[in-house]
Amino acid sequence: MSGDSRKEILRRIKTGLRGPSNTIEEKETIFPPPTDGKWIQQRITEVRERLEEKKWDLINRFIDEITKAGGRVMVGRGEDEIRGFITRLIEEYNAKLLAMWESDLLIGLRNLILDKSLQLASPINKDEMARADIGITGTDFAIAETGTIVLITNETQPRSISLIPPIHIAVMRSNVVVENLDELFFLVKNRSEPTSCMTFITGPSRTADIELNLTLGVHGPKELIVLIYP
Amino acid sequence: METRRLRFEIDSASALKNQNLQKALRNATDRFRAIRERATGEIKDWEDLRRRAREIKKNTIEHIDQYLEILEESIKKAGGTIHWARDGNEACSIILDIARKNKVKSVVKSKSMATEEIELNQALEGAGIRVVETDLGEYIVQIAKERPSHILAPAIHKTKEDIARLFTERLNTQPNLEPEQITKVAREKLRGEFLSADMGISGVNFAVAETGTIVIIENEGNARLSTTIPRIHIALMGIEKVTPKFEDISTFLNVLFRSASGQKISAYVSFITGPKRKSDADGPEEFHLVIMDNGRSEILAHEETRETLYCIRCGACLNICPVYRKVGGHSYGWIYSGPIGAILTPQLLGIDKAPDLPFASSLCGACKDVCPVKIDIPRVLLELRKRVKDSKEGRKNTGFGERIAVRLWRFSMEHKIIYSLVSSLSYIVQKPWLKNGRLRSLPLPFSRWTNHRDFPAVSKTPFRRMWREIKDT
Repeated sequence: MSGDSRKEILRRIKTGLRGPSNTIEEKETIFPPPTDGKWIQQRITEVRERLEEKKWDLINRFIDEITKAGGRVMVGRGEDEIRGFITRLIEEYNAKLLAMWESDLLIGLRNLILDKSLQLASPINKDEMARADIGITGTDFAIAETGTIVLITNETQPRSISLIPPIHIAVMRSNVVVENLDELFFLVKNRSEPTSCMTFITGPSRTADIELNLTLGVHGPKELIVLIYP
Repeated sequence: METRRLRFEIDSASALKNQNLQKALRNATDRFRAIRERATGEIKDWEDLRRRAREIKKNTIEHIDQYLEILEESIKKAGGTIHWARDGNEACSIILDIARKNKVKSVVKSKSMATEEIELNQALEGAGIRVVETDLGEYIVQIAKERPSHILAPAIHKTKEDIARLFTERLNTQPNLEPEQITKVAREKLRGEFLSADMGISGVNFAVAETGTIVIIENEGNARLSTTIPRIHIALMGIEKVTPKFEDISTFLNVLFRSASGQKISAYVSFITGPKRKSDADGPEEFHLVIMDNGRSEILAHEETRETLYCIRCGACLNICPVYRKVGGHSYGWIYSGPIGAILTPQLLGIDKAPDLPFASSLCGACKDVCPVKIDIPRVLLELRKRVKDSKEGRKNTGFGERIAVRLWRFSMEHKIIYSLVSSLSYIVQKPWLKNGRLRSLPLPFSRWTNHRDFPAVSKTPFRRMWREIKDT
């Protein structure tokens, strides 16, 4: 049945666009062949170098924008200080059950949490996730112009950790920042490993569905806290 | 699907009398407009971005069959399943089949105009499946048993008092809740729904052919929850949502938010490519994409109106439109409203179902000026008006008086002396009806105009004389 529909829809489109004669152009003409790999590598290096040069300008811009979007930012000098921030936040929110990425960046943190006899929720168990107080993730990219953090799903980076708990803490290295959307799409497109899900997050969950009054935390986290270190 | 004839004239007249609605509409559209103006004024290359966005859409639509085939291949490669639906009924039965096969009892939905278009909720509920809208505005509209009235803000026609009353009536909440409390109640109710649902259904903002990625844009996080927690994710898209390349999304995101809500970007943008990978800890095990025609290939077949399919559903034309701002979304009779609804609805449902809509415009052109993909809505409206008048019913409905009047108008326009004579005469004849320089109520047949709006008085000095004087100075 679906096969017939497929044929029928494509036939309708073809006749609609090009008349009954339906002369089809070669696919190559509408879809340019992939750009030369060496050129891309060169371009990636150029972009990376340029970004490294103005990294802290971009970080400042990022902080401005994400703050405007309702996010909270703390900047630390190194991993120790970031761990300190997290300990303070756990106390501040009186958190008991945490959910966390298992990425290299956060491995050290896991031990800290276990020391403090806090519980860790498993991302496979959605009911446990629903009870988690804070979700802690890393940050794969950040976009300065829009104040956005970009998270990429993989086996150690589940998607629900930045979504289900009411508080989301994102730990971010300063070298993940890019200037704008165009750069982000260029770099992501040329990453080697594919992902089932990439998410842009800009501030806490928000709605304006009642008389356009802004209300935070309608479905996703009420608070987004980004911890940046060099 | 909608089969009755829409009644714009009747519905808009009652909307104009509804004081509550007028207040809600004025507040909302004014604010939308102000933030859009600020956001688009902020960037230097706004016009350039619009041109780029239009260029991508144009190229896509001209070769859309090829891009859809590429999209199909990419989605399969990512482990997803593709379904093709010729019309709304077929799309509903595809989705129902998947639900039945998986013994689905409850479904969470994120906002999607395509599912509204095919009345998917009724189809699922008819089969005994529980369907819950999870976008706050859609949820409000669902419990009120109404229809959304704005593409972006479905409950824009309701004041906060209306909504508080609704929650008390239907959900037994305390009376007079404030927006924050209403939101909290909705969060708690809907959390339970997300956790127990077997299936999540979403729309699609863009579908990237080369990577097989669907892009979903939202502010609340309900689309992320709907596409993360339940075991099955079904996404429904009209054929026009496909776009060739991954980086096209950059251009669309740049124009969409600024036009829609005046944000630089929404709180969340999700890029979903197939189901969860084996090693992923969470995410749906099955991913289905339903590609639906439902009248779109027919729009495509008319070159003059083809650009209707460029629309990225930002809602900017609604907020700027002097007609929408007065009559609201429901007057347009179907799910798409405002200027885009006036051109989309008659083409999707058939011109005989909505013959009034192409005339629900003053042709002022504000919609064209704000459109992020520069759709020439006034031109398409004129083309559709022509189609209405050329149709059998249209000919029948054009009265003898209207025909004579148009002939006379044409005759006088073609003869300079007659034209001057008529205009000088009108200046004298109009006097009894003149009020503060406007004609506010004229006798039949002109009352059909002045019942709804006034008419500028005929000037004493004809334009031609003014022109001569201006030219001389």
